[in-house]
Amino acid sequence: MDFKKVLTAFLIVFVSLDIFLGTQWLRQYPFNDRRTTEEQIIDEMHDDGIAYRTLSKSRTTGSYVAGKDGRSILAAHQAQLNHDWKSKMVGDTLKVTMPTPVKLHYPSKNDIHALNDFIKQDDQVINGSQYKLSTKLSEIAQKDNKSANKLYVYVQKIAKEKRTFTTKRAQIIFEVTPNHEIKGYEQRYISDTQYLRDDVQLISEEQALISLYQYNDLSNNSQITFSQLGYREMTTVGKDVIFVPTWQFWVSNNKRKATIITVNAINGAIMK
Amino acid sequence: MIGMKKDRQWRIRLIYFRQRYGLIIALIIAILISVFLSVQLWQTPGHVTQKKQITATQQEEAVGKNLANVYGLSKLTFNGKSKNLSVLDYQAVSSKLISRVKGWHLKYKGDQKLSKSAYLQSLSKQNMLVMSFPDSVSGSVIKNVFGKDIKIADNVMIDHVRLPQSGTNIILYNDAHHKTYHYQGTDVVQTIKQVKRSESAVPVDYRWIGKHVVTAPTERVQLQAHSYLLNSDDTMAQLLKIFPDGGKRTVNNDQEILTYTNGNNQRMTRNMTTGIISYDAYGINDHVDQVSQRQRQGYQWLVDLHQLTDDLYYFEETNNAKSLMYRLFVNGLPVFNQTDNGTVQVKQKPNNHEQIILSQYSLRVPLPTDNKNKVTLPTMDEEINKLMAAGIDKTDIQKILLGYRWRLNPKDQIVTLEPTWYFEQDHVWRSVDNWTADKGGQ
Repeated sequence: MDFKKVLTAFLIVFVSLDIFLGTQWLRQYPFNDRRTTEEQIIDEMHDDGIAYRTLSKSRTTGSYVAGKDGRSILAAHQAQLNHDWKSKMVGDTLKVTMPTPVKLHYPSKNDIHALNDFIKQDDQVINGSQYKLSTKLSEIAQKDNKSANKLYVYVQKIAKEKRTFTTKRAQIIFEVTPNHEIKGYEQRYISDTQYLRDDVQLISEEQALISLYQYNDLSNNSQITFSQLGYREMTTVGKDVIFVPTWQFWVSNNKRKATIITVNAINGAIMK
Repeated sequence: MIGMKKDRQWRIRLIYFRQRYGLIIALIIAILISVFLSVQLWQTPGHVTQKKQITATQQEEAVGKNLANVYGLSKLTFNGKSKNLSVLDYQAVSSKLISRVKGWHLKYKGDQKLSKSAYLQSLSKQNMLVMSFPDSVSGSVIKNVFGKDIKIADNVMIDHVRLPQSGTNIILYNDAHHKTYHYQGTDVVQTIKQVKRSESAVPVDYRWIGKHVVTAPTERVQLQAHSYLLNSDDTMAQLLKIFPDGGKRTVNNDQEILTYTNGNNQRMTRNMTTGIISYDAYGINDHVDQVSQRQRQGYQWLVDLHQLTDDLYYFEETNNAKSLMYRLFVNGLPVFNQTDNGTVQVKQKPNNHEQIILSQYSLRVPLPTDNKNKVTLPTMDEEINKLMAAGIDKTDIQKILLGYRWRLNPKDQIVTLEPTWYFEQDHVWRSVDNWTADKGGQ
């Protein structure tokens, strides 16, 4: 009788164990896994504690772009700027200072709206309409800025595109006082831009992040705070600078300063 | 009475057996089930780290370099009322078209064998879009391009796909048997009506050349020459990961050769003079005979040898796909070289031997070109006439197409790609200009 009780107890234990193991098996067996490879990798990234906002799956088109250092263009057009201002070329940078700071007049007193208006005037900024504000870069510049003045970073657009260069060689940095006055700015420019090949389909933001993960360039518990598609310098051949469409990710880890990791948007290679 | 007695006896025996052994048997079954489930759980991907379950091929596919990309289209023609226009920068438009059709459910309506002329007429029907592959691709590839639910046998070979500019009837074409496969698109999310062709296009006619239908430019074509920086680092860096040894140096016919080995099954020779690399794998027991299997295997070799670049595409097969050729394409046109630069050849040899011929040189960085550097090329008929005048029988021309000639300036390592006509005879590609000039000089 006792032996029968022992057997019954064992049976109950093993049946319970079977139910538990069976549930686990059904959950993990591949026939239940209808995820695409992308979804599997995304799930792995979750498991590794990698955090990001919603990723775009759409694929746009783009191509290689060539350009030249715009130093000569900036130097040649220096004379068109307001004659009360001081301007000089330092290397490839045009430095403009206003002896009397220029008040940013705009009904809303919003610096950005006023700067967007200011930049379009030919006697104030050379080819200014080719630039647009980068909120992220302005934020980063502001963090490193120790003065009371605010810094605003404008980046140069590629002809007929919304996308921009992601190099310091194509930027304007404005310095604005707390009284909404411009003290000066520094401008760098890329001239003679031209497309080098027919458009090809670029990888999506999701594919670019997967590429980063697959090449072990994302450590566990990293956080993707910002990403953008733009054109980064690939190489310089003679006087020509060759740019390639890239996905840039701002990756922060354990509250340390964010690092920027770049992925070639044509072939998915990581650019160091 | 006897039957009832026997039945009662059986019942008594069964009750006795159940009472005595039932619990033990149930316990044994429960233990066996738990052992089985434990083993299964041990082997399922949940136990092994999932990263290892994702193969190199899946990794490549996840970042957009999939089989459908490698076996991509090489022509896109808009059939108009008065003329057919072949788009020169077709890649972006084709990608858009394919992604839309991929969203449809394609219902198989049947196949049809046509005469050669009816086949041409069907291809050139008005208000249609015709996408052509550089060489026949298998049904297996078509499934990769248009989605797995298209009903097509893996070994059916397809050369062209016809899409309606409005509507959802799709036809696949097989040049070898002038056969068509008809499909009706249902569950259409996005039509292809709004997809517009680019301005860069040339008028063409459909015609038979050798065993294939080609789109022949009927007017002279103006094409831009391009320049690229010669790249020799990327390919070698990837290949040397497979061969950890430094290579054994020999000199043969004044050419420096480095030979690498990795066990008994892998060997690589690198000709330092020409830059040509031969990779040999032995003991490949895949039993791959069909073209569809070979095309898949060829793609697998590109993945394994890290040759999946953004501009390398399938070009052609010979000898029942025992030899597969992948070629560099720039702005939609293939690049030809006197040596094997810009190509990857996957060859199936006897005795389970697979040989892959490739080049350490590639073209990765495009350079600005002078817009004046444009070349006006003759029509296809003019080129065929030139070849016939130089003594080539028209029936010997297997294929003829526009391509780029790779010309290296060794001083600055810049490669100029000059547009020109190429033709294939006895499975050898030659520039029409070079060949006719050589013949004229003889």
